[in-house]
Amino acid sequence: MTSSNQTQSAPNQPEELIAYLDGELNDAAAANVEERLARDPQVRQTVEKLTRAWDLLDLLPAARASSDFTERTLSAIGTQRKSADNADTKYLPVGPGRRVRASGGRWAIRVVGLIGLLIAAAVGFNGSFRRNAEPIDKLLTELPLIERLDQYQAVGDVEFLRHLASSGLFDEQSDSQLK
Amino acid sequence: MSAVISEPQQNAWLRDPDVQRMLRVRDGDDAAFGELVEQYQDRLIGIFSHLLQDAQSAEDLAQDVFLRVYRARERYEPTAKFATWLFRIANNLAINRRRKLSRQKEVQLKVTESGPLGPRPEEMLATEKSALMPTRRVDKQEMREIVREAMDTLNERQRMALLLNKFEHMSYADIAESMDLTVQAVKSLLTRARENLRTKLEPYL
Repeated sequence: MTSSNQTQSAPNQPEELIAYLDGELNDAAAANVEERLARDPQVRQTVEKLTRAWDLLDLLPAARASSDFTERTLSAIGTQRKSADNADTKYLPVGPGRRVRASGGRWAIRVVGLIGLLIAAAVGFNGSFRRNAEPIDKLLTELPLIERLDQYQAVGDVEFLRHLASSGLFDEQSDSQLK
Repeated sequence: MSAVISEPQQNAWLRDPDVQRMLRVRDGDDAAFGELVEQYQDRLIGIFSHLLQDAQSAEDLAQDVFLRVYRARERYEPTAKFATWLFRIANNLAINRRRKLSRQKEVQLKVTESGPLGPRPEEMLATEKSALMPTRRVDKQEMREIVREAMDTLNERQRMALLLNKFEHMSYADIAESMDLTVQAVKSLLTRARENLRTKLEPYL
């Protein structure tokens, strides 16, 4: 816009005159045009016609948006956003190859959530395992007792078992004698 | 146009209240987007109306511009004045529309327009008469139609540059940014446009 060749070019060239009218010339170039304007009636006439033609553009009717334009536009945006949200949900399970940009934030949240869940599960399992290690050992030790618990409960009393054993009623020898 | 944006330049854009509004839109403020629509709808529709000569198409295209702005909100970074950025989108959409129409071959020649053999003798005669016609008094409505016809003789790029210059008061640098051209190209484009207008309107000046 403010190149040095502007000062050297002939100011009656339309390009320089129009740039002058548009306020796009540097000071030196503008002064050069003004000097020519002052002493050359033909340049003056050209500038006057350019200005009048420019001013005639004001006659063009100024179009305005229809009264419901804003409402329709915002409504279209609302519809677009809803369908985009639906599309996000629809395409989420497909994988990262589709709708990556639109659903990237949601994916990140889900991955972080999943990692957190796994960490919590690991910590919970570890604590639970440590807390329950002694009872499990006890259970293993007492397993033979647990397996015969029904029989022991039916007998009801250890003294009775001893008395039964001493009576000889269930001895193998006695069995053979019976046969 | 340049890829590297200096910090003072970016700070200058940040002072643009519409850039601030757009940053609020980026941060999820839909009310700010409504303000931008209100602020720019007439300006966009005005430019498109002059460009397309069709009010409905102008509204449709303007709405498309706003939809695209909204869709791009999350990626928005201020690299120009908001109006410059907006009219760049507008210009791109207008170009796309023109290409689409060209592909569809929907352009219909007017009966009075020249055919492939060049201007008809009566057209040449009419042009000559018009050029030689002494200045006569025409009413405002008639003059408006003459100006509109003169605008129609400009190609779409000349018209766009002229409209941004005239009605948006854009500098050559901002027009260059909006139309993805160099400043020198804008200067040449505007010179041809205004020279053409001056020639067409000569009998009425």
